[in-house]
Amino acid sequence: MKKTIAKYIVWVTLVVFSSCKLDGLQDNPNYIAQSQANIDFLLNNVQVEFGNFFNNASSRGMELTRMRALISGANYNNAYQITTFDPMWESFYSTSLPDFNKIIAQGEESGLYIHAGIAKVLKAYELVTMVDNFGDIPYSQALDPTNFNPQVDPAAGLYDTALGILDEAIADFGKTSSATVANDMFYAGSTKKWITAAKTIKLKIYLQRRLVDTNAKAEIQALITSGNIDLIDAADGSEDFVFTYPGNSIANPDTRHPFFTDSYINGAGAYMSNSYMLALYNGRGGFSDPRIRYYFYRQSTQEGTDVNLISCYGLPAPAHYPAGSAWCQDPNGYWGRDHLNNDGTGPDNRVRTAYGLYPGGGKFDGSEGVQTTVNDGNKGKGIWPVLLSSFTYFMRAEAALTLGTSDDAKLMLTTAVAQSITKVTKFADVTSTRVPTTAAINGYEAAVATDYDTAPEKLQVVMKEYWVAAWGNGIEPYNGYRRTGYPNDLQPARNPQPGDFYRSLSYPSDFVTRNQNATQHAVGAQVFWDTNPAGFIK
Amino acid sequence: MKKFLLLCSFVFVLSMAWAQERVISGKVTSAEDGTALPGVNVVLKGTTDGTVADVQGNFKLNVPQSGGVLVFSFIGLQTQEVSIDSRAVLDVSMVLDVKQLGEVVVTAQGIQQDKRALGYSVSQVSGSALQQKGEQDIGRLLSGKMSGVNITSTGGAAGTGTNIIIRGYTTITGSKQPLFIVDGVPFNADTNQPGDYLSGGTASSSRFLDLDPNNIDKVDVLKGLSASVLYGEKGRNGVILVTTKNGRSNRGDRFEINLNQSVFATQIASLPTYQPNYGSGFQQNYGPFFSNWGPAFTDLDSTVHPLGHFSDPALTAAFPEYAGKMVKYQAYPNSVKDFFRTGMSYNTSVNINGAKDNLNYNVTLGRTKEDGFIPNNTLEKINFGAGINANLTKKFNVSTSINYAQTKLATPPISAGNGSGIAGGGESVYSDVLYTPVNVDLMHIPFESPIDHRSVYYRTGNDIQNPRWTAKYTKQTDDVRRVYGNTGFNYNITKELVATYRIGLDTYNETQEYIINKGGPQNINGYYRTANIQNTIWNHDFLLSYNHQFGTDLSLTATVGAQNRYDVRMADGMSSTNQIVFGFINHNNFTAHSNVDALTGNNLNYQTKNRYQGVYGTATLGYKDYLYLNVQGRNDWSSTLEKANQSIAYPSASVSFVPTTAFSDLESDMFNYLKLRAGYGTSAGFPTPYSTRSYLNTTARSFLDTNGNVITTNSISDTYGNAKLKPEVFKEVEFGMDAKFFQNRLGFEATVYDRVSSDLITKAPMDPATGYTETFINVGKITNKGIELTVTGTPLVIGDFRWDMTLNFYHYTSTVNSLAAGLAQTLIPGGGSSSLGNYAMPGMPFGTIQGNYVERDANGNLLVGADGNYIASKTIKPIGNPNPQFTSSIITNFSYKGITLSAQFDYRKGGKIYSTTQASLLARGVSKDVDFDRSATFILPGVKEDGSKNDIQLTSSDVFFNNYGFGPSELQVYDGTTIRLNQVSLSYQLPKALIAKTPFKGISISAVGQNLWFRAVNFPKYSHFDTNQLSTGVGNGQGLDFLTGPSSKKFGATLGLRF
Repeated sequence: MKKTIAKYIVWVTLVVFSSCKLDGLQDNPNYIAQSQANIDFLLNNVQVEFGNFFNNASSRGMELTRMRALISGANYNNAYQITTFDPMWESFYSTSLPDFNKIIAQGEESGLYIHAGIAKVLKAYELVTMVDNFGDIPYSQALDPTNFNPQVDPAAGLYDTALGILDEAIADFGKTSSATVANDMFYAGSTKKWITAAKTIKLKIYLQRRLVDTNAKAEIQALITSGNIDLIDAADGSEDFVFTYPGNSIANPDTRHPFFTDSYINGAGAYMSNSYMLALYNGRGGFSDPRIRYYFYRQSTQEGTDVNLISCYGLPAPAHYPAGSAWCQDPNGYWGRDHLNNDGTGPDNRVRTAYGLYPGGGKFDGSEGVQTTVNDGNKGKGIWPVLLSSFTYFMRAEAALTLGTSDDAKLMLTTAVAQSITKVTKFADVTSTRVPTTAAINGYEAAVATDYDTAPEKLQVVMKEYWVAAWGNGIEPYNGYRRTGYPNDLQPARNPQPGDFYRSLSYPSDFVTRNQNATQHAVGAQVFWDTNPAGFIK
Repeated sequence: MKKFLLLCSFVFVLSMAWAQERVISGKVTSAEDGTALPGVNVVLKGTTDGTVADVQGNFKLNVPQSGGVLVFSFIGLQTQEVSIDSRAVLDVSMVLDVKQLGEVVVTAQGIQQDKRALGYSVSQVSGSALQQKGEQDIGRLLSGKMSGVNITSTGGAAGTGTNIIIRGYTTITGSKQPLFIVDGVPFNADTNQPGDYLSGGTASSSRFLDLDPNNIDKVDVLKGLSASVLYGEKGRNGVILVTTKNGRSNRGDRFEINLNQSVFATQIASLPTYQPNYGSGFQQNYGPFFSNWGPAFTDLDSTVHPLGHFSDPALTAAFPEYAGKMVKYQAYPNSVKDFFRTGMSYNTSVNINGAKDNLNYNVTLGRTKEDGFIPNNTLEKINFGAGINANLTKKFNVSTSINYAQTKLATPPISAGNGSGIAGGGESVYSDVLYTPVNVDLMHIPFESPIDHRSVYYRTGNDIQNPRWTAKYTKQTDDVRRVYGNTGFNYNITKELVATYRIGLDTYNETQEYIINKGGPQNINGYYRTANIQNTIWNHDFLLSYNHQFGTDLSLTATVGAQNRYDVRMADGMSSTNQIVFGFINHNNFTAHSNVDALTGNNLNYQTKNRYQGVYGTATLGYKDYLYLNVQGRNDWSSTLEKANQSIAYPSASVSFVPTTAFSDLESDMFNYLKLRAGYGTSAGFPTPYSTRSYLNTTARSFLDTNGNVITTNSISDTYGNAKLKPEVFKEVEFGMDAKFFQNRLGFEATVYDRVSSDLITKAPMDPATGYTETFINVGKITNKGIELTVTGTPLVIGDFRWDMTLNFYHYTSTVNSLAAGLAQTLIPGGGSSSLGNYAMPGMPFGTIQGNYVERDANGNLLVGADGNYIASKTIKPIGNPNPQFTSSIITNFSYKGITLSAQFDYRKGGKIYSTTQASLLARGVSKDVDFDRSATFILPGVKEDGSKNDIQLTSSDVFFNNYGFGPSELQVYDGTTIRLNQVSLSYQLPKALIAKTPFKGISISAVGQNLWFRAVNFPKYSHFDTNQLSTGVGNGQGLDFLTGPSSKKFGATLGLRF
């Protein structure tokens, strides 16, 4: 008995303790290994993420240039928590950049040049946008997990880096690739159109740094020289660099445009800007802007009179507001907010103005004045207008006016406006008696030309029209505002002393709290290409 | 007491060489109740001849022809010497030895030891303190019963989780929850929180809820590392050793049936006192808002009916009877009170136990049905357990125990609220109810549309979910089926050497559901999630124990052992959105499905496997019953680390010295007992699985192209796998003293400890510019120091009347000494958000709450902005230390014949709490604290930016809404000092004489009240806030309240019958 039991114990001990290995349990069974990465899937990731990156960057620009209301503070200093900027930082650095680099390395190695080229274009665009927003950022020391504290690189050099990446991309698109990409979400595999995008980004870069770049004129001239033009300029919009949300699918994945999910699920979310809406409402030459009913959808066409919903109702505009400035709400139910009005939010989500059909895939405003629903309009099928053909013409107009390039600035402006109006009014099929007539469109376009001719400062008209045409893209207006000071009639903050304007965004919390080498800069800190004086804009 | 002594009997078998002279036999019984006492040593004085009484208490011994004295001894009983004289039969009855205080306690790995031999502190709670108290959660029942342990409920809803922290916080990222060992084998005590506190994590149960308190024989708590070292890494947070009635070993020949039936009522423990004078609105204008800064009821006659002013014409059409209808503007003071209910709970438990010959057995059956105070909050439990213990031969013993538990919890979702709805994406029954506007008659207006059942409430935009709708149409459920048990074999290889093999299995299947019908504004299209978690622990232990007595003075007890533990968790689930038909809950009734949770983004399908092995040894050398030296050591290997770092050894040693025994002069009637002890222990902490290798994220359905084709993405993970990760290291010294005075009427047990944890495995946030956002690294050092004091006393004994008291006192400091070079602070995972949360910062108490604050000028004056409100900082800084200065409890017990009255009072001193509940009651102008003349204006104390004294007048709404309510977080922090009447019970045991002729052996009735009264003295008076809650759920967060719930109070009665 004793022996049997002793034997049994020995046996059990051996089985239990010696056969159990500790190895092989370190690999996470829920994920595949990095070595198994699929280059097409990686490219999909950076493309999908590009939409998120653009949304984050564009939102801040739209708010600061009063295209959309900024209501999270009464002055600039407290209008943003620095955590607001974390998603942009994370999107660029941790979500996209490692994948960009992996695609580029793998693409160059295996002759997948289209993959590499696309990754380079997107990377360069994101890199300059990061610089435009934050100034000096980590780059050469970035992406090294053994260095927790990468130091920043000077912003000017990063602009050169981006230009180099774009040139490489253009070269890649000229090579014979060993395979096509599985999903080209921008140009369906057209390398020719990718080259237009790369060159247009170069145009944007040179124009952006024209105040500090003595070669800007020559570089831009080279890009626009007749016979050599390879920019995004097709009138039919086929070259437009846009990120598309196919809409409809509400979950797994939700592919609706963020403007739509903001405004069509439970009433309107974000507040529109009274200033921007009034600019379009007033239009030019007695013609309301033909795009206004595409940009905005009014849930009510009536003026708001309930002080519980709109606390400024009946109050006079602040003394520092110039005559004619938007205040409290615009006529006929264009119900938004004033700049830096941080009052509590009343239950007005069912009456305030929502995003419209363009670019978020909402509803055309046919003056119905009813609340938005999830089944409205284009059901979230929309775009991010990253670079449109109209933008190219606006940029060429500015270059002609400021650098003396060979373009006819007025022709560039009117082409830009016409192409913008076409883009917006042809965005989706609309059946409504409120669709702007040809006469209204022509009238508006003629007024732009007239205003240009009579304006003492031509650039003002160009930049204002660019601002209007850019709806959905806050990046270009924010850059343009800092570069040119236009539009110079933006609605002032409600507080007469809102503090310094954000000449660059504060460094995000992720950076300043986690990186020892990070030093926060002031709200008024200027990006290298901004040589305008302090207090230039507010 | 006697039961303990019996069941914990050590069989000291002495050598049995004897001279054949004559035989004496007899029976050993208990003087207390006459039952047989097995295991008592019977030795012929002056010789080594002796025997041990058998299970019936009988003994037989050869003794010399004449004379002789028999010595009867047993741990905890008074040793008796009886002259044999000429007797052939000698019966003795033995009494408890109060002097010897030979309390036997269970220590690590089930090794039973005389308490005097221990060099460290162990707390013990008897089953009677836990049974029939109307509370199913063993964690909550232990609250205040011992020092050194802080227990916090996550909320008051039935079945919600409980946070147990023994001896402070020692790790930033790792779990601090103690190890549960049930009948010698590990028991999973996780709180499976689906998602974080923002999306319903606080409505999850802690899995020790599956234990049936009525089936618990006793609980021993090992607090320090020198006590828990044999449990290895898993024991580093302290060990809660639960001995169920199934796990009890040998007792006398008996048969008994216990039947208990209890009925309890549960109510919300406290509600704010609401002000009766002002209705909803702002700046004294009426408006259908949350805020009650509207006009006084005396200033306005009537307003539009709450459902009479919808801006949505479809809702106006649904309620034509209310459209534009005017109703009197008045207070409905009972809206919130009537929303909650009195829940009844019923518990039935049957226990059958007995022993016959070499076999003893126990069977228990328990059923509980509990309704919480929240509508539709229910808890149902079925527990079934059986255990047998058999001496198959004289040398071979087998015990086995098997338990089945079924726990079903249902509750409306509970998640963080921010004072203006929910903070995250889920639902919460609490988030908008506590500040229901005084003029809204919540319980008497419809809460759903008669057309499509969607939620309706009083705001014109209908953008706030009606709490009654939330309670009815949203739900979280938790359905657990669990089997756990063990089988152990003991074999006495020789009289001194015993081999034990024990195999344990704990496996459960937990099904969680989260139901949100469509039509509520928070998740308007509806949502449904199901998740299945299967968790299994296989555990093997092999031990060899050796006892030896060297001569009369020196004794040795030693154990060596090995453990192998394998944990597997498999989870799968589905999340669906976009409900088609209202009210029908089935994934098929939703149009979109995913295994990625739409609410939290978590993948519902995952598995983890990890294995853990250890070898250990312990030896205690005893000298003359007054000096004991114990050395222990363990080596562990874990599969969660890379090979080079898998192994870690940790030693431990302790000394116990009893001067009152060593120097007999010291002992007197006044001064009965003194023990001094010192212990040193070490332990380790292993990371959670899969922290050492990076991986690739794959999202199968990431996006769609314009043709609707699925786009799949790969992305390099944001978490960096650190192959160099090492185990955390813990070192602790403790010193203690136990003393007894006045014939043991007064006792002290005091312990001080100092624990240093280093190489902490910390989830370190990385600047995304590194390409990753987080990784696990070994950083920093935390020091924990504490004092635990327990005073027991019997102030009064007059005849049958007896008054006993116990005082527990616990003070600790938990300080972060350092983090990694350059890491100035790190958010503690599970402790809020980066803008308001618990942080680890060098030089600061662990868990320091950081949040934004009021800007100050150079002289420290509060800065007021141009609008008259305080200027909120853009950055965060420490705004409160959530660690209490001390926690204490007084348990007082009066008994007279069969009547016992006892009460437990708790006192918590300090510990800051960020309270959204309090802030929103002020911000919304609903509590009586803000019932004052609101036409007055106020000037906030402080200075303006130009340095001059603030003179900007604010309205009352602005003061409380913009500043104290929703202003800088600093203004919402309160001191958590709380006095509490934790428990009162009155019980009556019918006298034996009265029931002698009935079939009953005993009848008892008791009445118990739990959490009957409390007061957080430094909170505004009328909020009646309970500090015993934790919105961040079970984990390392503390002192954060995000409106997840008032506590409950319970009262009821139990009838106990013994056959």
